[in-house]
Amino acid sequence: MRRYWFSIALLLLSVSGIGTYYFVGILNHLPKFQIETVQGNAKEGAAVVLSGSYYGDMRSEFLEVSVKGSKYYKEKGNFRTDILQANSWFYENLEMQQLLKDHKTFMRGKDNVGGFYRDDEIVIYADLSTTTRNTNAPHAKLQLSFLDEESEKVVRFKSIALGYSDDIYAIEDVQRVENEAHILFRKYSNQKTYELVYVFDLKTGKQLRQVDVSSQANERKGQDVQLTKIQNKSLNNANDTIFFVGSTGDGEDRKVFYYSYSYLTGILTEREEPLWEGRFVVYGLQNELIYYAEIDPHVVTLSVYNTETNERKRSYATVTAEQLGVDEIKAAIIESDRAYLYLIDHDDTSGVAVLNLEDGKLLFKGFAAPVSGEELTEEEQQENLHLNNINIVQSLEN
Amino acid sequence: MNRYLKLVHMEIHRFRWILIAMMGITAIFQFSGLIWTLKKAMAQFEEQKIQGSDTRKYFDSVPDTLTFEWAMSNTQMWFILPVLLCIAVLSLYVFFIWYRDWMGRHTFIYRLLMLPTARHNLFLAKITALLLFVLSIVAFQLVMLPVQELVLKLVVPAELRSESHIVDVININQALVELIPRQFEQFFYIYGLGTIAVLMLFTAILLERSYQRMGILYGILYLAGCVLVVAAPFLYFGLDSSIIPLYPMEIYVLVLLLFFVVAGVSVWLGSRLLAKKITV
Repeated sequence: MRRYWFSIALLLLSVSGIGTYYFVGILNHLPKFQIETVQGNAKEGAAVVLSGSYYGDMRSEFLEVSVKGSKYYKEKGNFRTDILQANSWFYENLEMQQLLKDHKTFMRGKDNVGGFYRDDEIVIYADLSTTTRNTNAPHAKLQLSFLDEESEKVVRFKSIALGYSDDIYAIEDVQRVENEAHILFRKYSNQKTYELVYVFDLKTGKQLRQVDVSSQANERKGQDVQLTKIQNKSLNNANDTIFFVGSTGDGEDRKVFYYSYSYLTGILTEREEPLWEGRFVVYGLQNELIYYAEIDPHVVTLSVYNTETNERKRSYATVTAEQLGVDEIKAAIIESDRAYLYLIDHDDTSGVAVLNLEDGKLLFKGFAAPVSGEELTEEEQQENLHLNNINIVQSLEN
Repeated sequence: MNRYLKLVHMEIHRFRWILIAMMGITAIFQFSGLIWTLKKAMAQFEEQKIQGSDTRKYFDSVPDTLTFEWAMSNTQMWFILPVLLCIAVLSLYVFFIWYRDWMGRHTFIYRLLMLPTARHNLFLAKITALLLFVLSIVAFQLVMLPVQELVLKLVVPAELRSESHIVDVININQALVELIPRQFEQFFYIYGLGTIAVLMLFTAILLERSYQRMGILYGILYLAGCVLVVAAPFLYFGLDSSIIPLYPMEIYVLVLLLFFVVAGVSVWLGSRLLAKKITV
């Protein structure tokens, strides 16, 4: 045995050196934080993720803090997580999570969030494949798939050529109107942008007609109107009407208009009432209702506008920084039936308040704080924590 | 098993002086670099104390308290150069571990091939020994870090220093951060990938030994084939699931599977060449 001492020593050195480092040495490297509940139900704050940096001696570490705890980006990243988190924005979408749960086989290979439509009977998926071959044939080709929810039967229509070879298309919305699939495209052609609706037969996949939405706006104004679709919070639910913000001119001459487009009639209508009012506004379009929040560092006012009845409830709820016991309300997000406020407390501590969107009632308030029992004092850890962003990550499990 | 372990020991024994020399050079470089930097910093402290803080220059000033992390960031090259030297020596030894058996008048490979043991043990013993060399150098570096911190504590008075975490010390060094990842899982991937690359090279070397001049071509083709198999999923579809309809977890499993296939084929082909085709 003595003659093998060098080999045994080498083996022991390797195992003990690497083992000690990975199972003991790396412990207590970075402090742990979490959003501590100050008021309300922690479940209401489960979707909130505050992100920013933790300042070390010479470098800073990117981290995310939630009610569950903190996650340092570099501590969790490896070859496996890099692959699993590709397209994470797609898998984090609640509606996509539900579709994946219900129709895993149909969802295979489909990752364009804006290309889905779903109602009680059918799921429609539209995606574009583009060729880079230098031919005169159209580069953009549409691929349509229909899934019957009940029978699970799938019909696919492949390679429906769109436009001319130089045109660039992007899918913005998919809707079903009886036996037709209406697909809203944003087309870039000759350095101009167009909003176009292509209508396809659900049974045959044949293109029935095409509606030039941008031309309707241009003709009425007598000049080019730049249209931008207002994103509905539900990406794939049934909506007969969609909304656009139109603009003409630049700088001080810039004028803004609001439009609605009906898939049923194919007509773009300019709205007499603006969809929202005020400066520094965040909004959430939920079917026919547009909820919007005007943000001031000291107060947030919630308003709602019904796009069907034109009824507007201005400032139906107001929440002040003083009421929340903080210095500043820095940002807001309207998501589902909640308004999430990003708060800054006296000593620069980041926090969050969750309001019920319907009546502005405070459901949850919490602040990012160190988890006790760490090496540095809680004050030192808090000093090094610099959060600056809020995000909402919902999951079917929450 | 016993014979395999004896062969591993034999390979380690043949390389022991080079390994000890590499560890020695690493230690000498790193300790002298560290002590020199700390002494310089202490001298600067004294100078700043005499001249007052107004005369502190941006480039040569030292912080109010010294940390091991600061010392590491100011001795980058002293740490990186011996690490690069070790990598270079071990990379060359991937070839030399085989070719040295054919060298000399009384070629050692005769004796190895005559041993009353399965020939694949030769192949496995060489890869095991090489892996152990790499891991022992990494472990040696990890063991040295607390000792170097102790040196810092001996050189710098307590009131002029503050604590650093070992992970921060490793992360600040451009070479160590690549060799010692923060997660054990990533460590497993990096060194697993390295082991598979060495297995591929071993098989290519044995192809050359088996088929002489044509073997060089076979070896190059084999390496290219292996790289293509492993890289194909990334080269062809990346992580775009619209080209090949796989979910991320399936892509991960597929990539792992391809790595295992390449490793398995390399061991099988290398062992087969050793058993049936090798010429001396």
